[in-house]
Amino acid sequence: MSNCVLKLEHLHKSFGGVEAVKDFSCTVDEGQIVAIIGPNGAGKTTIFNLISKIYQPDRGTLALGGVDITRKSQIETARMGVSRTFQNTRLFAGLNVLDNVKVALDFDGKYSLLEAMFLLPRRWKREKETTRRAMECLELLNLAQYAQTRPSNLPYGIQRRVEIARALVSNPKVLMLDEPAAGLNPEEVFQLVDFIREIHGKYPQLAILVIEHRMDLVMNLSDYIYVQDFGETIARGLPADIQNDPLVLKAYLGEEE
Amino acid sequence: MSNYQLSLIMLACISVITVCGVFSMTSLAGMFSLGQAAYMSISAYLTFCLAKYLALPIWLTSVIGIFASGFVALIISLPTLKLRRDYFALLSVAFGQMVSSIVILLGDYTNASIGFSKIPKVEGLVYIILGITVLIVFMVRNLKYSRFGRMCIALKTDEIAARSFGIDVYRLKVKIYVIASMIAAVGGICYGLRNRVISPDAFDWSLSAEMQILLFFGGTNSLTGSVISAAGLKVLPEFLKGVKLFGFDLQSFRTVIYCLLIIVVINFRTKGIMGESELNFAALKRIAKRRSSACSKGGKKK
Ligand SMILES: Nc1ncnc2c1ncn2[C@@H]1O[C@H](COP(=O)(O)OP(=O)(O)OP(=O)(O)O)[C@@H](O)[C@H]1O
Ligand SMILES: [Mg+2]
Repeated sequence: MSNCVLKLEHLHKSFGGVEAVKDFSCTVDEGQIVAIIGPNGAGKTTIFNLISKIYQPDRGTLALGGVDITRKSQIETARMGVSRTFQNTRLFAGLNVLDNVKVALDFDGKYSLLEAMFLLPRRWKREKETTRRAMECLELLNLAQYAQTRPSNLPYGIQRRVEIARALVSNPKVLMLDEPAAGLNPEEVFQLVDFIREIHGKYPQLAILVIEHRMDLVMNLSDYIYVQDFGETIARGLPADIQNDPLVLKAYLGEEE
Repeated sequence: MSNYQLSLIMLACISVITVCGVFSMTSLAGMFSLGQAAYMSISAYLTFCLAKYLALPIWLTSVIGIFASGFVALIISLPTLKLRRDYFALLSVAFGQMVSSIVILLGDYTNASIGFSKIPKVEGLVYIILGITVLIVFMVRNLKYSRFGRMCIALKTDEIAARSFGIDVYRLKVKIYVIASMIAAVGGICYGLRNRVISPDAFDWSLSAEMQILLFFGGTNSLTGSVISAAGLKVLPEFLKGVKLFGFDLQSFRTVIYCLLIIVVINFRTKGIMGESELNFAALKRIAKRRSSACSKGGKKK
């Protein structure tokens, strides 16, 4: 029925002796929220880094909307519609919130260096268009009031949301959120879950991949869950099945207690 | 105005032009180079040698000089900008020394270390240089407030994050480096026209270092700060001429004063005098408002 947006097959990545990802396969459909969970060092972030091409896989293939992107660079992959946030927020400290969001549109700004330096008409037109799109995105995510603020002056919870806005503004096909709840207080975590649901509602085509450390959070958010441990997928399935999987409980919950 | 004053104005302008070039490279894109004076050298020698030996008009050879510098910058940056930032800075020193040696090797044409002085006199030079300075400041300001400026600031903070938003870090750096070098080239020609003599020593690494110092002094990310410090610090030593303090002639202590000032600023304001803030009408209004509200408060207390 639904279209497969992202298809990963038999991905492998090792760092020296550490096999961070072993034989990882997964598919994400349009409008689906897929979660990757697992304890520390399970290789979750490495999977994101492989998808966004910060690392090239040792083996395996990746396809985006049916196009093979295994050998594409980080820049090409980003331009094709793979967007992400980082485990430790990586907003650009030298830019205010609005500019942080605008910069995600700037690679495709459609005016030249000369037009920029001489303030030619096309520069004004395109710049206005970029500002409009960025403001629209900020308004959609209720962040408009922070537009002129530097990220470092905002609470952590808001910074995380700005990072999501920056990832969303270019209308990506895939949005990857790396532990969006890390470092938030319980109140903020609650708001974040609502926030992700809202995004899901407003961008019905968007495929969302979430890494999460805590199981409770993803259980009622995601459509499908992959459980990683030491680089391997130890379980996959619907939230209800995962919750009762003895392997998961042993590997995962055992570690927490 | 006396010739001396005009000459000071030109000195300040040339300093502003060269620091603007370094601003776009270092403050925007985070590339630290100690070889920018080499581009001044390349364009100045090309411009004035071509004008003399081929008897071409100076405006034409200037254009050739500027574009030739841009081309050299492109050739130099393609391999070196792939390297880590610290290696890039080291290589820039080597590049600067290389250009100086080439100038000396071509002594038959350039008159080597004695200096090349066959530079035509240009009427109304001060207006031309003032005009060029205004234009360059305007262009660099626009660069900062454009998509290129934003992408530069992004890649300066975090290259991996910048790439994950589709920003072609390498290409953008090359572009900015070429622009910065062409701005330096303009500064070099102006320098030649003002001084009427150019020598390899005039464009050695210490001049490149001076540009960086002026930039950091004014504010690492503030264009207005850099412009003010470029002009101010450059002409400051001239005002110390003949001034005596405790029987010492301050002029002869100018290097000491210079360095003390810089040490004080770097220690107490690590981001330079203006840091990241720009001086513009909005900022002036804000300051004025604060002043007046403070005054009215003070008045009420009384
Ligand atoms: N660039 C790298 N170089 C060497 N080893 C790495 C690198 N990146 C990750 N690793 C190793 O790969 C393994 C998986 O790391 P990864 O960051 O993917 O885990 P994670 O599941 O995201 O953990 P966490 O919950 O702590 O974020 C770890 O053992 C880590 O040390
Ligand atoms: Mg991680």
